[in-house]
Amino acid sequence: MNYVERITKYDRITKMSKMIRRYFVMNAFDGALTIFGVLIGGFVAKITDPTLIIKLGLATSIAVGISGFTGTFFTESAERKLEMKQIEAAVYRKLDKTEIHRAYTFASISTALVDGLSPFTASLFILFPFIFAPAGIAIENIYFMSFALAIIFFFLLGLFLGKISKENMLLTALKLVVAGIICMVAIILLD
Amino acid sequence: MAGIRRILLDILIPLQVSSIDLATDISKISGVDNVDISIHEVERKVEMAKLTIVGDELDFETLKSAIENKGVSIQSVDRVSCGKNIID
Repeated sequence: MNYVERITKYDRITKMSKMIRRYFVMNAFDGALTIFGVLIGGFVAKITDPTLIIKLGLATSIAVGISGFTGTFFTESAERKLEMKQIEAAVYRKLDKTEIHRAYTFASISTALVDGLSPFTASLFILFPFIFAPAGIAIENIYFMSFALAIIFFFLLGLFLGKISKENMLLTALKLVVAGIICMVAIILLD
Repeated sequence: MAGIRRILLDILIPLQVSSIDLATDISKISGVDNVDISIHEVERKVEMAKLTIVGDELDFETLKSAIENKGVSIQSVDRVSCGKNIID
């Protein structure tokens, strides 16, 4: 059995793909909005040193990534263990070293990886202008590029969410963009 | 031939395990010619089923470990047929 067949089989056992998809959208949005907030905070506080923003941004990305991975791993493992115990009680036997056990372990780890990597990569995507901007570009322009990337990211994520929920894709995309704008307005109002 | 030609098992299949996957996987075991799974009751977490395996020189231990590896529980061996011809 090749790797793809095995994962497909594990998915049939655990139904993990739906969960991974849900976690991906939820946590990518979480990570993107967090870094968006950090950047707006930096802009409002008039931080003009790009390296400072990169350090702040990377630290935040790593934190949301690790938070996503550990939180999901422990929660999912606990849920899966409970489910395994219920199945064991129903079949009157231990299920260690069986395909179900391997499928559930795989599901917990892969869900946690997606949950950790999605906010991390979303954050890096929005920080992209700060990391790769050539020297000489005004810091305000780098901020605006990042804000634009964040809005584009919210929009794309919304389109994806609309597609998987078979709802109006544009409307779902706009809802996520509005959530980002609300975050921006709230932070600016704090100033 | 003195080996097992047909065996009928009473099994419990967790709902997470597809009976199609189970039948397909057992059919790939060497010596197995036919596999038949008949579900006769569905409970909250398991399906109660009769599994019939037909073949030539079937090795019960190999079959048992393949079935149990799927998370399925063998409740009893209900019928075994050995010898040159199967008695129906």
